[in-house]
Amino acid sequence: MNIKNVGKVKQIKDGVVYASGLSDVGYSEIVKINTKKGVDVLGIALNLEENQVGIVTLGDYQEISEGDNIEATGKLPSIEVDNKLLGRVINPLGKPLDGREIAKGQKIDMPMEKIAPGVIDRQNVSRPLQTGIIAIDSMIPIGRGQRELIIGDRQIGKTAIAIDTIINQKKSKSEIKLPQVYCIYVAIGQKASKVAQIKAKLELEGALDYTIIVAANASDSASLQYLAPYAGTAIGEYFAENGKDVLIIYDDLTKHAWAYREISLLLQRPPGREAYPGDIFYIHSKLLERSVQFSDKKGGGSLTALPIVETQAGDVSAYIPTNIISITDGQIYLESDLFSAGIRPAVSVGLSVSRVGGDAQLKPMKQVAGQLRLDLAQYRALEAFAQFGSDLDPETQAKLDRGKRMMELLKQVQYAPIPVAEQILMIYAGNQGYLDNIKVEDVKEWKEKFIQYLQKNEKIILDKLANNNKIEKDLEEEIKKLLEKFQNSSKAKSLFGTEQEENITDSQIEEGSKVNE
Amino acid sequence: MNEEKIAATIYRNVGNLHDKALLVLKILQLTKNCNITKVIHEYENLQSKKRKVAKVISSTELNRGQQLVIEQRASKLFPNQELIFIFETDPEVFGGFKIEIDDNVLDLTLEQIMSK
Repeated sequence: MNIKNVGKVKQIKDGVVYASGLSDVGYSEIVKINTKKGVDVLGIALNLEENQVGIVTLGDYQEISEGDNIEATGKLPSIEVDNKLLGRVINPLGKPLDGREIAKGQKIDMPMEKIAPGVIDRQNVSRPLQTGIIAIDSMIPIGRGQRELIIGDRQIGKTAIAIDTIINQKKSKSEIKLPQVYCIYVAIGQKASKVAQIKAKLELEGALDYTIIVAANASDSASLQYLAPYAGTAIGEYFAENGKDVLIIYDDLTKHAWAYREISLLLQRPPGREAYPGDIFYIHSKLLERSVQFSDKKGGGSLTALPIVETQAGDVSAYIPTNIISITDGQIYLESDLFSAGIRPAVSVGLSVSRVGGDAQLKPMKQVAGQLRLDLAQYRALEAFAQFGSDLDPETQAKLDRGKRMMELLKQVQYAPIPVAEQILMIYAGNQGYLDNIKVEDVKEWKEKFIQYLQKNEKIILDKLANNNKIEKDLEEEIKKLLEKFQNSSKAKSLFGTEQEENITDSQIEEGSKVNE
Repeated sequence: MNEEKIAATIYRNVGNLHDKALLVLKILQLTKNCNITKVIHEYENLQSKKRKVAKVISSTELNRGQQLVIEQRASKLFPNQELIFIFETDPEVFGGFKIEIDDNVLDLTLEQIMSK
C-alpha cells in the first residue's frame, strides 16, 4: 500500500509550475503532473516555499492546465543503466533517440546526484588515457581518472579532440595492455544535426560499440540540458564502480551554465555576477569531483572527464572559464592564432598544462617528450627572429629549423588518431635529427609513410614500446637501425631528393637563390 | 451529524470563502439542535493541526460497519494522527475507495488501477 503525496497546479508561469499541496515533497524530487489529456508530464521540485512548490517541467509544459493533479514520486532524478546502453543515443531521462526501443532486462537505477567518492576510495592517477593526438599525449598527457579541460573559442577544434580521443579507444588501435575504455559523450544544448553527425562518424570508425551518447539538444527544455551531464555521470559510475575504465566528455559546460542560469532566473532566485545564480560553481564542482580513479579495493575502475568550455574572443579570465579551470586538473588551451596559421590541432603548448603530467605517461614517451618540449619552447622564444632570414647565426637557425619541423610533426588531420608507440618513434626521429634534412612541407608525407612502414614491418618494436620499455641500450640500437632502414628505403628516398641535395638546409637554399640574383 | 463531522466538513471541503459560508449556514439550518461551541472548538483543532480530516471517497455509500473498518485501518496507517473521518461518494472512482489526509492520498480505487 503506498501513500502518495499530491498537489494541484495553481499557476503556470514561464515554464515553471506553481503547485499547492505537495507538503512532503523533497528538494529536487521528481513529480508527475497528470494532465487532462491523459499524458503525464514529469517535473523537478526546485523551489520549496511556504505556500507553494515551484516545479520545473521536464517535458512539454503546454499540456498542463491549472487545476491538474500532481503526485510526488518519492524519487530523486535517476536513470536506468545496463550494458545494453552501449551504442545507443538517449536523452537524460533514458528515452531512446535513435529510433529503437530500449532493450529490456535487469537495469540498475543510478542516481543522478551523488556525493563524490571520498579520499579513502581513491588512488593515484597513474595509467595513461591515450588521446591519439601527438601534441596532447606527449606534452599534456592525460591519465585515467583525471579531469582535463578543453577550452577555446568557437569552431576551433574542441569537439574534434574529444571525438578523436573516443576513436582512439578502439582496442585494435592500441597495443597497450590496458583495459578497454568505455566512452560517454554528453551533448548539452547542441544542434541535433551536429549530434547526428557525431554519431555517424563514430559508427563509421567502429567506435560506437563502446560509446553511449546522452543528448539534450538545443530544442530540449533548460531542465533537461541541466540534467544531461549528471545523467551521463550516473551512467559512467555504473561502469566505473564495476571496475571498468570510463571516459566522459561534457560538450559543453558553457551551455550547461546557461541552462542553469535560465532555470534559476525563472525560479526568481537572486542573480549574481553575469546573472548567474550563487551556486553556479557548485553545479560544476560537484559534477567534476565525481571523476575518480578507484582504489584496487573498490575495483580499480576509473572515470576520466574531458569537460569542454567555449570562450568568447579567447577570454579565459571570464567567470565560467575561471571557475572550471580552478576545478579541473589542467587544461588544453586552443588558440585562434594557431588555428588560422594552419597549426591544427591548435593546441597552445605553452599555455596548456596537465597537473598529472608524467605520472600518467609511458616511460619511453616521457623520455622523448622532454626534449620535444624543450625544442618547441626554444623555437617559440626565437620565432620572432625568423624574419631576419640569413642574418642569423647557424645555431639559432638550426633551432628555428628544428622547431619548424617539430611543429609540422604535431599537426594532425581529424579522425586519424595515432597509436602511442608510433608517436614515440616519430618524436624520437625528430629529436635525433632524422627530419633535419627534409623540407618542412614534406614532413607531413614523411609522417604518413613512416606510420605505414611501422605498422607493416615493425610490430615487435611497437609492442616493446607499448609495453612501457624505456628506450636504452638494446632498444635504442634497434630503433636507430629501424630509422636507418626507413630513411634508405625507396619510400623515404623521394623525400630527400637526389644524393647531392641531401645535406642542404633551408638557409643555404636561400643563400643560393640570393647569389643567383 | 455530530459536531466533529460538521467542523471537518466545513474545513475540508475546498472552495472559496463564499461557498464555505453558505455551507456553514446550510448545515446550521439542518442541525438546529447542535452544539455550536463544540463545532467551533473542533474547527480550531483542525486549524491548529491538532486533528486532521480524513476524507474517504467511495463509489457507493458505505454502511456503518464498512466505515468502522476503514477508520480502524487508517488510524493504524497514520499512528500519530488524530483523525476525523468524513465519508463521501463519487461514481467517478468506479469502485474501491481512497482516503485523503491533507495532501497525502491512499488510492485504492478501481479508477486508479484502470488508468495504469
